[in-house]
Amino acid sequence: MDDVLLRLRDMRVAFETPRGLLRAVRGVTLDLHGGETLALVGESGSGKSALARGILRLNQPPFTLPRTRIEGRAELRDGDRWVDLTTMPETRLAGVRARAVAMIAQESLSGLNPVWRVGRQVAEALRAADPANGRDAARAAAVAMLAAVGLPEPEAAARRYPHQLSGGQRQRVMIAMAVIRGPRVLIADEPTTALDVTVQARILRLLTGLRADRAMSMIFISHDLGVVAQVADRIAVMYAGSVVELGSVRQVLTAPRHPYTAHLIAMQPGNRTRGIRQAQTLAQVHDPLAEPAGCAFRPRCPRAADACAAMPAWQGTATAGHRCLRVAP
Amino acid sequence: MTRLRDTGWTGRAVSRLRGADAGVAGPAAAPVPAAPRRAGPRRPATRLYVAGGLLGLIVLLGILAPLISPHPPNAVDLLNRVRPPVWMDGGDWRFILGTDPLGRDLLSRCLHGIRTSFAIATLGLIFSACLGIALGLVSGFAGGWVDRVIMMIVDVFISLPNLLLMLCGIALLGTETWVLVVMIGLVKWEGYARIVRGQVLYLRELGYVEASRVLGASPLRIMLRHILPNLASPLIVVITLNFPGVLLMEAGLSFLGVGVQPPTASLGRMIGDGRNYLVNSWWIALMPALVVVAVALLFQLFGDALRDRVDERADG
Amino acid sequence: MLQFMAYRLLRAVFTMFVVLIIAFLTLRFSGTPFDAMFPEGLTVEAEQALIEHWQLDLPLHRQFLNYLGTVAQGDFGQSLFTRERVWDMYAARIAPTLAVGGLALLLAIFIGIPLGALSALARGSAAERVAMWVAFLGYAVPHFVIGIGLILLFGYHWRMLPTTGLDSVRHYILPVLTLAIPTVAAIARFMRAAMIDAISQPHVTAALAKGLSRRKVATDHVLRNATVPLLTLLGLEIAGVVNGSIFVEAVFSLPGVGRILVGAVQDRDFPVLQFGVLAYAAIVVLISLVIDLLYTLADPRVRVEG
Repeated sequence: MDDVLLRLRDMRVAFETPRGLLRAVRGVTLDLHGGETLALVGESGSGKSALARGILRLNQPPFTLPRTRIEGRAELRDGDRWVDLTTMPETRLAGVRARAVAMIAQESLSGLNPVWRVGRQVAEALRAADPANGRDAARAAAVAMLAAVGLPEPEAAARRYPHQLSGGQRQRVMIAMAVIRGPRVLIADEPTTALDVTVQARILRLLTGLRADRAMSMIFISHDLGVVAQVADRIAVMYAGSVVELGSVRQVLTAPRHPYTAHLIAMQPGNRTRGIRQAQTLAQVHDPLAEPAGCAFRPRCPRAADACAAMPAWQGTATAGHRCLRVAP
Repeated sequence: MTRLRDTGWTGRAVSRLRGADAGVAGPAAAPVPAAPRRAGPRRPATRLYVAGGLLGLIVLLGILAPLISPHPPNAVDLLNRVRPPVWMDGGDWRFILGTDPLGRDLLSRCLHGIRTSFAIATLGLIFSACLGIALGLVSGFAGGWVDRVIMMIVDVFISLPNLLLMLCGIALLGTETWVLVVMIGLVKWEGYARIVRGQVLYLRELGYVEASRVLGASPLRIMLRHILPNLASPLIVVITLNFPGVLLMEAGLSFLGVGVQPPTASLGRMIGDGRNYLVNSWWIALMPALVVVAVALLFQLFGDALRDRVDERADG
Repeated sequence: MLQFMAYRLLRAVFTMFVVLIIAFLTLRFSGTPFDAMFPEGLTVEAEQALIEHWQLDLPLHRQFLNYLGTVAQGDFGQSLFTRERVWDMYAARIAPTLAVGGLALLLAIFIGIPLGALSALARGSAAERVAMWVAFLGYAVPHFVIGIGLILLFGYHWRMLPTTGLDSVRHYILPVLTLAIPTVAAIARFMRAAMIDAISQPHVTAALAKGLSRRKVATDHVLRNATVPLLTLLGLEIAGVVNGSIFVEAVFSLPGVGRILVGAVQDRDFPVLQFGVLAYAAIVVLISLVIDLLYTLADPRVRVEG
């Protein structure tokens, strides 16, 4: 498609652990289009964070022994060409992180350095993207950005330290740090999970507003379908490291095709019907170290059949589809 | 020992308990980084066992010193003054490691020196542990102003210069063994006090103490049955970590001439006395020095391995 | 922050007070020093005259106040043996101690910090392992043993360097090295641990995610954060250097204050001893306060919580 910005092709992310190789992401193929919000949903351990981080190769802290293996391709559009992020040299990748793909990490509340003032950290982000900015220019831009993300008294806020701000305010700062760089893609990993409900709504509004204003694409990761329903254009449902369903928000949430998606929707608070069956499936969480034979959801699937012992192939495109043998494409 | 340190890294268990009273000591005392988490396969426990085993061997040698020494350690034999070790010219199989200026056999003196040093260090640590545990229990149980006073004493003691105080004490009271033991005890007790107090406070928060009281248990019983068993592990870790420091402290004092007095064999003293003979009879100082180095390194290895073990357990 | 500093100041004053009491008691409870000074014995009248002269017949608290008064005036008494003024004795010998100690500390800081930092940044490399082994050896072995070892090696085996006294620049090398090695090791080990701890903090990965170069992440976000606990260590290490200099001066026969201190213990020369204790304690307390002050500058979280 013409407006595809980022394409993931059979991406795999694995971690070497003392207990063996942990395959967090097992072959994900999907496209991200310009100007859209794609949500990645799944329970913890489904690989959504690993996937997002894997795109930028941020799965482990710097200066640590390498224990992450990334295979497959994550291609970013650069004019007419496509550049593969998985094999790019580190210094070039830093440029991509600075200018093209910005990530708001999950622990955003502790993603700020406690010994630097907040304004400086935002300015630092801007100068990483565009070193031409002098100190003062960057500071001014940072203050302006803090205002844009809705912080009252941005001048004063910029001079504060992270521990002097509330959780919601810190989240806004993290968003400011990401957006000020003018990225084409924004990856937000559980941006509202640690916040209480009223603050959540405001942050979501902020994100959607900024995305629209600056024509960014967004990958929004969450385990909360309610939140996702408010912001996303398309949803990718992940389970055990694979995408099991992909489609528009409307289609996935109102007419899910994969049994796991249906399960997730049923599990949302407010949707739950009492049933012993559902309670049972809730109890078993997928073990990331286990190597499933065939479909990973099989132990918990109400529609499992013998044929499911073989890993089902993806039925669909990089834009929509699902991975279940028991359902029509 | 010359280092005042009580930091370095503490095992998670210890630092968790220490954190219980971090507010008293203030932030500057608290932020000791925990040992770095290891990414990768678990280190086998061989380091721990090898180091521990060798240390045990040395301790055994020290304990058995009177039995296995080829000569009495203080037997002066002026005919055999300053004999080099057996593998050199003039060496003699009767004096395997050589002799000192008074003709005393170095091997025997080293063995007895190990015995002396370990004995003093052990006694000193026991004393400081008892003192610290007692004060920690009192502090934790009594609460209120008693607690605050004791904690303030702890704070002051931490700031006091160990070596200088020991020198003062020795100058005042003499260089008998009991003085050394008491002095060592007095400079090392606060670590134990804080751990114990932390545990007591923790259990109090859980309501444990109150519940036991209601059931009629006397405070002593509570202490013995509930508090101390939980503390065995972190206390052992701290004692193990403190031991080499204390040992080297005694060696250092003896080296300066204000620790163990002659004719009792002490490794530090032997090194000090041998310092002046380094030109031609270097073995007089080197042999005890090698023993000290070996003990110090083994303890360091053991301590690090132990800390790693404790941290791994704490990580789960 | 004010609250924090006020508490620290109070504690410092209180500590000095305790040290003063200890120093005073050391002086007074050492019994009459006359036995040591006059081994031949004294007549009763002579003894009584001396007691009055030294005001030993006043009640204890009066004596203590007098003592505080003399200390405030800078009069620390005289050596029991040489009759020299204690202050003069120390003043004459302070320079070598400061020189050796200062050099050792500088060396330790400028080698230890980079050593520790680089080995934390280059995990798993051969360089890291070597550095850590060196640090391990230096940390475990006490000062005087290192001194003996260096003397044997450089003084006698290779005959490269002098081993006694401080007559030339070359004389400084071995003592400074001996004093510096354990400190380098301690600083390197600690710095490495602090850096590794800092690296695992989420804001470091977040900094990388901002597109900062690894170098910038290392300096601005890892190193900077690791210096905070390092300050505390430096305070302790300075005290350790002061401690160690006593041993180093004994090993190398340096004309510093450590020598007279040890001599004072052996001779029961209490006036000399009490000044040593006071001066040492004052230095340590002062350094502690400075470190605390620097700490508030380094870690903003402390400032507000006070």
